[in-house]
Amino acid sequence: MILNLLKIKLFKTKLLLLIITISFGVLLIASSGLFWLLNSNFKSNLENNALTNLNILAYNLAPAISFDDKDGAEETLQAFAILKHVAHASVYILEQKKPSLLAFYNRSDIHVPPNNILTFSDAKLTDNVMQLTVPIWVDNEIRGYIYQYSVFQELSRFQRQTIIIVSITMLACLVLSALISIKFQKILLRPLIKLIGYTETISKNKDYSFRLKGIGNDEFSLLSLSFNKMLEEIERRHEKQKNIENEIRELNLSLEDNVQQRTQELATSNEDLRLALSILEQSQQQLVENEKMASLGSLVAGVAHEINTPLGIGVTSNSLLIELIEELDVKFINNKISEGYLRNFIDKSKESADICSFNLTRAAELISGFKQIAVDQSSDSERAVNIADYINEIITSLKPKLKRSQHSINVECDKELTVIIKAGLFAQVITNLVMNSILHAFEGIEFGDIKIIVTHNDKYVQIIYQDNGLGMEQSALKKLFEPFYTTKRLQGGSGLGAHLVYNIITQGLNGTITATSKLNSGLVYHISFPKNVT
Amino acid sequence: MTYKNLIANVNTVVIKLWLVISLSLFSEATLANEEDNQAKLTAAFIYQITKFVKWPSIVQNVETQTISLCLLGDFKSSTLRHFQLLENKVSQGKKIKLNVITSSIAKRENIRCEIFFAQQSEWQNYTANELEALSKQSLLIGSTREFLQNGGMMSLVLVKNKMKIFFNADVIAKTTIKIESRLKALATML
Repeated sequence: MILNLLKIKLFKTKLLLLIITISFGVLLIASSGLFWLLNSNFKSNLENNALTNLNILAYNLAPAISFDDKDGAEETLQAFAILKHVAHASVYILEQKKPSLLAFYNRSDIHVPPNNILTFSDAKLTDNVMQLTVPIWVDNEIRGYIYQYSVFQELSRFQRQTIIIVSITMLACLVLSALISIKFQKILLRPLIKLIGYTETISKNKDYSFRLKGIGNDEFSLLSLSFNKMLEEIERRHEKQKNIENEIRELNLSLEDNVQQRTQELATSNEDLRLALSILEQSQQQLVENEKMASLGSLVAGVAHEINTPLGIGVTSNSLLIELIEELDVKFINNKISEGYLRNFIDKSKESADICSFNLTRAAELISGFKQIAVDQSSDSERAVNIADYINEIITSLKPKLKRSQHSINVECDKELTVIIKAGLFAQVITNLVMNSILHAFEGIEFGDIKIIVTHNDKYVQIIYQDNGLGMEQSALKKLFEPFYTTKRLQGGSGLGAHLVYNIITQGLNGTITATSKLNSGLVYHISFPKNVT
Repeated sequence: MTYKNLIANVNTVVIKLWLVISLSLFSEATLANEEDNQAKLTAAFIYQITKFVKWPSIVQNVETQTISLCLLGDFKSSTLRHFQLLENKVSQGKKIKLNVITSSIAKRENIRCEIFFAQQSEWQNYTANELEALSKQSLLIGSTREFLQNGGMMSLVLVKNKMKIFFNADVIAKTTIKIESRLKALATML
């Protein structure tokens, strides 16, 4: 309700409501105060009168108490007949310091006085009821008490009458204030209404050159002067704004052209970048392939070297055997074969044949192993691999690289561990890690140690690859797996080895790889990939 | 008259005599009891009355701060016993002093007391004029209504075993003694 009233838009209504509200508030406060004052005084008078009357009666009851005259006391109490508020009164005489009832008075209903009459020593009205006890003095000695029970109906009556009178007065004052407000608001608001009319005209016509004239000679006159100043300012700003808007419009037009031009340039740049990226990706792919081929080349070189020795021994043994056979043939033709010579021939032939056979078998085994590694490296097919044997074969294939140094490689692995993996990818991982250690970690180190520790559980194979080489700084370690990051730029390093390892582990073997290192404390790779146990 | 009749007559006479003697003895005892009760009540009432009466300063014994109660005439010791209980009792801050004298001595020596109490027979020794003069400054208390009719001031009369206070309005109007209105309100004015 009040909120709805506050939403009233018209000022004159607000003004009227404000005056009425203030008047009502002031009247309410004044009336409440007046009512409280009147009520307090009336109540206080009633209490004082009751106390006075009772004291007078107590005074007059002294002889009756003295002479133990019940009739006299009752006769005296009849004085209450004229006091309408007294419903009951009783006189007590002190016998052995205890009050004993001597006489009483009841107006209509029988009222039983309470036992604790001495507690009502204060004249205090509570809910129109007052219980009061005063002592009866005889010769400076309390000889008895008089107790009075009063019901002051006149207090309620007085309160009702006061409220009615105050309410009527308030209503009359409110009506009067409303009438005066209505009368004065017309006079007061006339200049304001005029001002509103002018502002509406200005707003409608957008004519800021208009100026107000003849708006009274009071505050509204000052308001009209201020309004005129404001109009001047608005007019000035309006002009300025129009100029600015024109400038902005022109700027917008040129800006659109600029944006279009820049957009075109950006589109061209994007196309160039996309092309460069494509070339880069192709280059990267090519480099990866090159790296793979380099790895394969290295393998081939290793194979050639490893096979060369047994084949050479085999050829030598075979040549010796041929020589022995030719010598035997000459001796046979000349019939000069002795038993001892034949025995010697047989022993040497057997030894040469054994040497030849052993080395040819070794060569065959090497070729078989290298063939598998070569096949693995050139294909992504999965097969069952005994990890321990496979790592050893890979290391064997790398021996030509290790031959010129005194580095050692130790492998700790469960001999029975066989998993189904992409063997070629796994070979590339081990090859790259070992080659990185040889090329980078053991630079300037004669006796380097590499440890490959393979553990496994039901689901995963974990490999800890560790060298005791130069190690890396943390800043370099962060970039270890980034493509083209190398410390051997222009010295043969492509910067793709570790990146290739990372890609093979994470994508080819669906595993994870992390590296930890400190400068001069070697480098450790933690590799984990899922296994499919055969 | 036979011996039996003689015996019967004697018995009748004896019984009648016994009855007469018993009744006379009982009535005497009752009378004595009533007198004693009246004396007791009278003494008590006089003491209470002293609390509601103020005497002019010339009468009051300022030096000794006492209220003199003069009992006129001869009183039985049983009666006097109740009045003697008032001796040295305090009323309005003053002690009560008891004097027992005859009216002739009182008159001869012009004795002044705040209160004079006497039986009707003793008050008869005073003329109306004497009573009027005496009542100017003293409270004169009798025990019958006749006392008031003869010019007395106040009587304490036993009515239906209750002591009633009677005043002579004319005498009260003339006296310089101030009797509180609340006492007057309790009393009966004649």
